Amino acid sequence: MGIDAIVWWLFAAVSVVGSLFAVLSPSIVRAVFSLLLAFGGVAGIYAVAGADFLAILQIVVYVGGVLVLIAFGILLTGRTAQALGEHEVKNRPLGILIAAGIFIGLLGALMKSSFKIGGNATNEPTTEAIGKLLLGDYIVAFEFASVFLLMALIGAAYLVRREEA
Amino acid sequence: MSIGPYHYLGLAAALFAIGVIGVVTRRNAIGVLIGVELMLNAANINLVAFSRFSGGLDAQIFAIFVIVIAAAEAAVALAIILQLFEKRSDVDVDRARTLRG
Amino acid sequence: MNEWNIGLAMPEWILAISALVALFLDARTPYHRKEGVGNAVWIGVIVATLWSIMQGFGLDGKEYAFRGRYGLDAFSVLFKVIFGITAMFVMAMSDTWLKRVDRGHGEFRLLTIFATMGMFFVASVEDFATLFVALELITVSFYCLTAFKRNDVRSIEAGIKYIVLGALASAFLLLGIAFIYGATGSLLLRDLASSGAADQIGHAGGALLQFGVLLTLVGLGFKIAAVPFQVWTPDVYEGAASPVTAFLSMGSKAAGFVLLLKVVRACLGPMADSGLAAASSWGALIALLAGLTILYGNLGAMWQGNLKRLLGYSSIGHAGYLLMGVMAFNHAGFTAILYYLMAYLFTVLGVFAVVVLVNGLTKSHRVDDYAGLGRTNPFLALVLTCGLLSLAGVPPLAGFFGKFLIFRAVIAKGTVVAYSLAAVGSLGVVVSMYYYLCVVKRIYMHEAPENGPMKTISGISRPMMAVLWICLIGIFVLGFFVQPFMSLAEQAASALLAG
Repeated sequence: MGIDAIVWWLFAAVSVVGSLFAVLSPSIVRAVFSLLLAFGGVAGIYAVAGADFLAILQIVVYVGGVLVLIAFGILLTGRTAQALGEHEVKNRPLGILIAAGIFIGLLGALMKSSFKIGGNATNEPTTEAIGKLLLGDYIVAFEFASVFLLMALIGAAYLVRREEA
Repeated sequence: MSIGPYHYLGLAAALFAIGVIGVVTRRNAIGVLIGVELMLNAANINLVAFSRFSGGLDAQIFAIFVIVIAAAEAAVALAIILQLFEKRSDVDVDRARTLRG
Repeated sequence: MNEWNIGLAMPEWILAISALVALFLDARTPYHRKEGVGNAVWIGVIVATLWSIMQGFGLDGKEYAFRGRYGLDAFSVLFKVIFGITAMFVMAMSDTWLKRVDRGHGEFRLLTIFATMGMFFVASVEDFATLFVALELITVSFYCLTAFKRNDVRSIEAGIKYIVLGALASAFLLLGIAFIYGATGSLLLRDLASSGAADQIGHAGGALLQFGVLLTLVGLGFKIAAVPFQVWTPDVYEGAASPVTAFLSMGSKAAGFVLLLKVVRACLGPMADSGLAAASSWGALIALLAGLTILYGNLGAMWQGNLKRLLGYSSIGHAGYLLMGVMAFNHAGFTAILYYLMAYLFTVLGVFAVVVLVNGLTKSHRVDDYAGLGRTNPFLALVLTCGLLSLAGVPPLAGFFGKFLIFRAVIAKGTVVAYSLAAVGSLGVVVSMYYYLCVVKRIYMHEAPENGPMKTISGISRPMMAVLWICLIGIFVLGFFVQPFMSLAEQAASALLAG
């Protein structure tokens, strides 16, 4: 087993363990910190896969943005998070059963399938090529993503604003 | 043995299934959101894997859009959750029961 | 196909510019004087719609822009016009509704126009990346619009339910798209149609692609409110403000169908063309979903005392009928879907226009509170009755002809699955007849209670009056003068099939 594989398994283990804690931990605060592990692990997987730009983006947006946002959400609604205690989760056996079903279904589909493998897996930096594609072939999606961000900003700002007396 | 596409896809399937557990079992709306974020991450791992093993960057571009949009969506979701908390002092999705029929 | 051709997307640019002007005006004006914002948005939608109609006349086959990532054909033009008209009707309703609200006029109009922009964009989608961005632009605007009444717990709860289920559906859609990419190596819809995907999807080795298409259809099923992602519909319809519900029931559903048709065409089209055996099992799957959706919607609607909830369930039922057209999967089926949507536009928006006006007076959505509408407001009662009868599919109204075309297309398939689906569909029609007629009976046969809130509604604004008249006339015109609209639908369906 090469060093690549060891690093890969390490990150995979971190993300799986982190996400397991994130969904199973009875305390929502602990769940958020486990989520940090999961997101970090996924960023590592991206890095090992040669997607350097995505790995950075994952850390900046998910760890720096979404996670902080969720943490704020918990701080602001914190009183209940503790008061709820063990009532935090419901029908866990059912959830695990559904999840196991989905997992086995996905694996089954993957095992039976052949997919397109071509080109060489390289570890070249991707940032330049991504920039060219974003402002080239994908320019419409890029423009509309910016419209989307403006819309989300307006919507979220309106929704959280308190009613002035 | 070296890491092939099936490793990535298996990992993604695991994360997706774990995310489903979160969505199904959490009462707290923020907990549900965490589950959904994990599922989106799983989809992105798939995309990155396909990008690595098929040589194209298109999947990575798609993953960038997913990350950007998921983040903004989370912001909107939290805005609505906070507003619900303001009105009702809890964010239990199961007790959101004013609407029935 | 490699040129930029930026002018082709002019309707979207016009909407974007009007949104920016509106945003600028909104920031500069105090709360009570938002007319400028409203005007900017109105002008934007009207000019964009007219521009699309103009493009439709000058169109020659299919034109591409942005290196083939944006396409315009008869199919997209037809839908852009439908979305433009929907947006105008909804804006007339929102103007009426916003008079009862004291905050957030600017934001409401901005979110409306962003959603409209997303819908215009959706009609021209050529690859999965733009598809996802456009779809989320629509969906997230609707999350905000649904939760818009910040002081109303029901509205916020509806918003939470919508966003939780919507995000879940997005996750399924994304996984599906990832699988499709993995199997075919391309995000372009037209590559999918030509990359031999049909061979893969028909065989056991194509499990990845099959799973991908399945997950994508499930994710899009959320948008059109089909089983198994229909649970949000009644709650969101009830909790959201009435103009938003109107917008959801027409705009959001039609946008879902645009994408569904494009994806089904790209993924399953070549397979149906080559007559593979797998085509029939996909047909059976869609038929199963359509049947379940029809039953769920129509049976659920029977016991509803709240008119908006009832319309929510009935809209699930209509998604089922439209899916019947998808199941037929040929020119006749697609034509029927397009005709049905055109008829649905005038029908359902006419109904919601009345709901907005009546709710302004009675502050209630209970069916019981519509008693006496026939006496106090004969015109509104007429529009509502014609709308409900058209939804039920009573001849010779618009809705009847849409249903007729759908059933004809399905029965023409001549398989056992098609016949059973048609039987389930007719059962749904009979059930729906019952609950729509109950409402009509309430309107005409029951007296308004003494001292009740039901009075003659005065001061209906001119745009609102225009909406009511246009919907009323549309319901009859699409029932009597079928041919011109039929040929529009046929052209669009041919364009879709030509790819």
